[in-house]
Amino acid sequence: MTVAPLPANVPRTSGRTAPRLTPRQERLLLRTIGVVGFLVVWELAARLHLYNAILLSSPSAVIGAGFGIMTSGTVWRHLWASAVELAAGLVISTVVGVAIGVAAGWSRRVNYVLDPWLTILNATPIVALVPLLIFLLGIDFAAKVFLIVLFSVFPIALNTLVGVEGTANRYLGVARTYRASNARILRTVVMPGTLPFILAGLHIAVGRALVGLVVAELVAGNEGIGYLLSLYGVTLQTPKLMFLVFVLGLTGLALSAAVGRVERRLERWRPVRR
Amino acid sequence: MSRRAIVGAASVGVVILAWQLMGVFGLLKPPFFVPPSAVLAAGAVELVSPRFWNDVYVSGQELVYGYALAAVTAIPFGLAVGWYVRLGYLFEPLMGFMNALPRIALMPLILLTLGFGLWSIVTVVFLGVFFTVAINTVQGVRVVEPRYLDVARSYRARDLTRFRTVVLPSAIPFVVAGLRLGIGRALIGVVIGELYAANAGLGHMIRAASNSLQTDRLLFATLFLIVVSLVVSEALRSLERRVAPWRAGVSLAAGT
Amino acid sequence: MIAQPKLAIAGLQMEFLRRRTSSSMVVIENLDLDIRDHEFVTIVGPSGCGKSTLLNIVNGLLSPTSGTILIDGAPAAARRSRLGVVFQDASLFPWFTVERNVGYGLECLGTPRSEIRARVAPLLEMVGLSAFGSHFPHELSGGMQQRANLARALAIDPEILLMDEPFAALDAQTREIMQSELLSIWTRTHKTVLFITHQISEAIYLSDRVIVMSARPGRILADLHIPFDRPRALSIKRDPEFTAAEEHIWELLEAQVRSALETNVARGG
Repeated sequence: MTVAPLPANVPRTSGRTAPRLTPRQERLLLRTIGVVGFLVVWELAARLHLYNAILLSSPSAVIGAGFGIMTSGTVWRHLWASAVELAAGLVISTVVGVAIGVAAGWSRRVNYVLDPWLTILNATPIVALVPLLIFLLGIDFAAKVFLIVLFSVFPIALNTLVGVEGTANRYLGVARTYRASNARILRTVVMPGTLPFILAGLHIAVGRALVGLVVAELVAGNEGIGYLLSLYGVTLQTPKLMFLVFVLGLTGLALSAAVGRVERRLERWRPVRR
Repeated sequence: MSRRAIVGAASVGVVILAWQLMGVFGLLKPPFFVPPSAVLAAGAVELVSPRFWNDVYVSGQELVYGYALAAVTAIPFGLAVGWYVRLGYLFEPLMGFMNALPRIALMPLILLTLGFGLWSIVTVVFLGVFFTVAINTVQGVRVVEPRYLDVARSYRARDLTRFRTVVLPSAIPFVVAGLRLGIGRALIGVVIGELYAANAGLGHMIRAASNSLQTDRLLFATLFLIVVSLVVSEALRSLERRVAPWRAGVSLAAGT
Repeated sequence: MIAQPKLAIAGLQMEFLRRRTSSSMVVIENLDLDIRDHEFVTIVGPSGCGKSTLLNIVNGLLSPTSGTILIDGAPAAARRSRLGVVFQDASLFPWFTVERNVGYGLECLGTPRSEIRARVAPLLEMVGLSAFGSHFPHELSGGMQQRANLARALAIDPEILLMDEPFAALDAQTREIMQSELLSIWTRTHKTVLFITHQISEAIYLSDRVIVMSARPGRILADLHIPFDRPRALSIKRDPEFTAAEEHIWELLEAQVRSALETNVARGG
């Protein structure tokens, strides 16, 4: 026995539980209080004129603006454009990133060649290159997808590399003993162990891809959510601006929740999850 | 020199050489794309130019202010939120949201509220660093080996003692890892912020160079940032090893 | 005059709530156990019989569903600072040196640093780790780590020593040596010991009494007096009387282990 068993209904780190409230309910309640409390404070601050409401808006104004935007129709074109770019960028990043990571993790020679580039490019603030790249490539669909890939491919490649390199020698030994071909070893031994790393990389990549999307559209472009952000910013329509920020945040949350779901689904064979 | 270093250096060297040769044979189209020698030449000019060093100073100041402010607030916040479960529940949704949000989306808003210059950029940097450090710290506190807490409880350690002797030491590597990741975020924050809301600094220099098609200056500024980012994160990596000599180091997912 | 037991466990019942079904699982059922002062008592039983749970209850890490624990006739809660606990492997704090680890219990009691130092030194000496005080745990072998663990428990000069399978992670030979070292230390300090193990020969070799527990829900199947003279050499393990005792306990346990095997599917750790 490695860990002292604790009664399932007693939280480990703190003392008593409030009566008649399961930990689950308590967690939900407190989370709700956190969110609602934040919104209430924000709204009150706006109503009491504690700050310039034109600049920071208020929850009620943002919700109102949200209804206005969503029913107006034109916004959907922009959101759709952004969504397609994001999806294309992430798919390409995943394919390319995994390919690079597996190649560099599997073959020592490839690793030696690629390693300095991965280090350099991972340390490069890609944003600094955005103005130049937009100048060189223009700001059409392909260019934006390219920028998104540039932002998001390295975390996937580096994580995959770490995963492949970390494949336990023990399992490799077993596979070699049974004369498994390299392809089979890759498929049956290396990939299962590397998958969590790939997904961890994807987790980071999702956030980076969103940044890439917004940066590209903010800097240039006449379409997409980033374009709308800058438009609303310039025209001082902060409630609409905030609504879009909210949409972006939710998108980020939804995407990382989706990755998390896949992670759990694929990880059922693993004995302990932390 | 190891084989790894030789092959690595060769790999970088070959690409740079090819790039240069393309320039020599007129395959690059200046001013859009320039050979490495032009970047170096621009660098030689910049390195003795007071304007460049002023840009570095401005960016450095914004970086240090924002980073320090974020570190000083995020560590205690993360420790508290990680240690007190209920406090954690209260803040989790907001932290999750802010972390998932591409914070650059707040740029137009920050620009509106704080205007051009120092404080806008400091805010961008702060937002980039705060959540990275806070979330790592929370994680560090939460993944404390329960066995160690049991040991502390067996010796009737009081809450504060448990925190000091068990939670803090096991969280420190995560905090430092958060600080290291935060440096990358801070650099990106400075550049993004200055691209939009500054009239000095390296980001502004990049924007100006891009507007006036001085690709050589732009690439030099980028190179400068890469070097700074590599040096700083390498320094923090060695700090990471130093603060926790008792373990091999936490390997968190890679990223800047 | 009846000597008061050092540790008295009476009517102990422990149930865990199952998260999913919200049904309860009885881990320990109506358990009574008295341990006299200076006595070395070992509990053996199949996996999942509640041995470690029992130890954690005595230690105060878990509260029982019902039942009482008395130390020297007083409720245990008040006396728990006098308990020394030796966990399984890897319970030394990896971020402290061996010396600081050994002094940890004293540190928690608020003992001044100079006094901690003075009390830790002879203990390190006793467990043969004098030269390793400033090492980190990961620089020590498994056997050395468990010696440090024992020293940490002894440092607070406990009235009762609780040992939860302390040698389980050691290799067979190291384990033998550690057993005889533990006995020689016990002879010198003469603490009351409650020891938990899977290994029958270890239980017999170390103890004055061996308690055999049933599969879940844990009950006491037998309470056996071990008659061998002390000091005991490791060679008594080959004594016919010793092997007879071993066989006797195994007969008691075998059915329990089999039933535990069937009920403990995928229970893990």
